[in-house]
Amino acid sequence: MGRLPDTFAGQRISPMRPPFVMSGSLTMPSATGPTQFPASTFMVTEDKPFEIHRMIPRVIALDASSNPAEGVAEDLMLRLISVQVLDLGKNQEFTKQAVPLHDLIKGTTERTWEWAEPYYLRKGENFIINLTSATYPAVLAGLSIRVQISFGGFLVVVAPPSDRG
Amino acid sequence: MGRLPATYAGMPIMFRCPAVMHTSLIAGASTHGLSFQTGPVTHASDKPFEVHRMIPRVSGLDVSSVFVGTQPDEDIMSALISITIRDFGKNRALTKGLTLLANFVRGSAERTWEWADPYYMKQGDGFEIRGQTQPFPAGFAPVLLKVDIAFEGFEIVLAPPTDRR
Repeated sequence: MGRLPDTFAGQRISPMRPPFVMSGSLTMPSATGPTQFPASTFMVTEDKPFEIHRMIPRVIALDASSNPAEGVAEDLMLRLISVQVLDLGKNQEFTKQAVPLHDLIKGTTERTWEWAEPYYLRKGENFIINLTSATYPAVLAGLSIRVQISFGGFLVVVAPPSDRG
Repeated sequence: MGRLPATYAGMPIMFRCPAVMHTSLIAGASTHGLSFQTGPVTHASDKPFEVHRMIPRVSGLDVSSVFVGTQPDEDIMSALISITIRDFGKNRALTKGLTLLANFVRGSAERTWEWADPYYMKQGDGFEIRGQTQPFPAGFAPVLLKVDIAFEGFEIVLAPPTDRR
């Protein structure tokens, strides 16, 4: 868990932080070039700033009928999918190039990309996320991988300016 | 997680954007003189990169460079390759000699090299990573190993100089 700042843009953050998550999923066949999530998937539409503490990538194998398939290790699938993240609002790239999902997370118990210092998105700002898949091995023949990415954190309630300072 | 300094080069740090630099290499058994591409791990942005951890990962590939369906234990794979790291911008070695990837990480749950005090890279600084692989054990399914190395942290936004200081 990262730090919890007292202020946002110079204004005091209320002690009440409603937990918030923003997520989207995309199904990736084998050996597929950069595929973008719809731009609206990761756009903040709330009127409160979104304070993001972590990115959580998850993968699951799907059969031809888009039903979950068993027997494929998540650890293998995380190696097969690479991701690029851009904050379009600030034109800030988070990744210099596509990074395999298993190279973003810390380990087996903490399967997240933790941000010790939270990152803020204002209303109308969004992440552009592109996924790339490698050639799948035989254990994934006929299967695709559904990638679910979520950003977890809080909406921050910012105290309004007042004559009390 | 390491500490989050308030200043850089005497200037207040105003904002942190999550960032990751990643490079990879594919190698067979008993190969010496390996060199990772430096371009992907050369810092090109005008904001300093505050690095908090290195994340090494190893995957097994078959002769066609496709991921093998049943990945060997990562503890075994990360004991088959050793690397040296040098920040060529500061001509600063981060390893005295070749070090097994398995010796960088804390354990199986937290497979990262955590830097309690973050390391900074300016525009044009980069990591030169060289390595070598050991002979693969008998009965080892992969023919090749794919080594991914990521550096995670933040790009930092500094307060501009003002006439108040």
